[in-house]
Amino acid sequence: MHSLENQLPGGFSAQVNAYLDGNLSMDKKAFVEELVASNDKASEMFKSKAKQRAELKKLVPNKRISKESLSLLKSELREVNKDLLKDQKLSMSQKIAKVLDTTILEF
Amino acid sequence: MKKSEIAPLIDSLIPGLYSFGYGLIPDELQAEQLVVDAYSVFILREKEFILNYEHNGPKQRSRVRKYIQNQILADMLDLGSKRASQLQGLFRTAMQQNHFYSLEFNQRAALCMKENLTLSTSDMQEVFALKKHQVCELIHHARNRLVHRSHSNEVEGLNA
Repeated sequence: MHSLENQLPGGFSAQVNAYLDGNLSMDKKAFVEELVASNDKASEMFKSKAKQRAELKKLVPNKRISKESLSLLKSELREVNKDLLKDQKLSMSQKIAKVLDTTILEF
Repeated sequence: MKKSEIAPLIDSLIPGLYSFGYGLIPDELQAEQLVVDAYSVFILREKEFILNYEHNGPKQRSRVRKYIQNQILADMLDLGSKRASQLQGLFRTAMQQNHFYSLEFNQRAALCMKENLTLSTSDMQEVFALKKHQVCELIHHARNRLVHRSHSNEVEGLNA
């Protein structure tokens, strides 16, 4: 196992963790896959890590939204859009006031 | 971006945001409210950006989607941390049912982002406003703590 750990920077187990997190570059990913395909110990370690990760995922709640909540949230967020994303239509006098308020040169 | 383009984009984010909200506060109504409030904060802050942004093609659209998602997640973190401290009663019940809720607030947030929303480390850096090594450390500790707690509970169950 030690020789396996020394084959990759940071150790093989760290690379497998990074692989499972999708944090490896393409060539490092390919190297891990090659090693897993060709080395029994690497394959064993990869399977065990993947199993651990799947078990961990089950412990994290992933609450699915109900249909009613989804439609309620959609309409509430549309209300937010309506209220907060209003186009501010300025009258002519407001436009003139805005131009006059703009600083052109500051001393 | 046209107003009509925003609604479908946000709609596609709702299930993930809701699940994240529930991971932060274990109550359906609180999770819904957290999404609405965080979205309102986001719109108030980024109104100009949203209305003036013009995207070209699906690549840019997905980049904007990601940006919006990360911004809302950051607002949910901010609002959720304040609310979670006021809702201790909810957590006492949830902790008995799921060890996940005995983790620290940021650890729960990190695990939801990583395991459920499959955010990359760089996206998580943006949401938490942390450096890469700090995000990796947060995920590592959260995973270890959750596994340790669930294992120790199994042992207690076997010994009982």
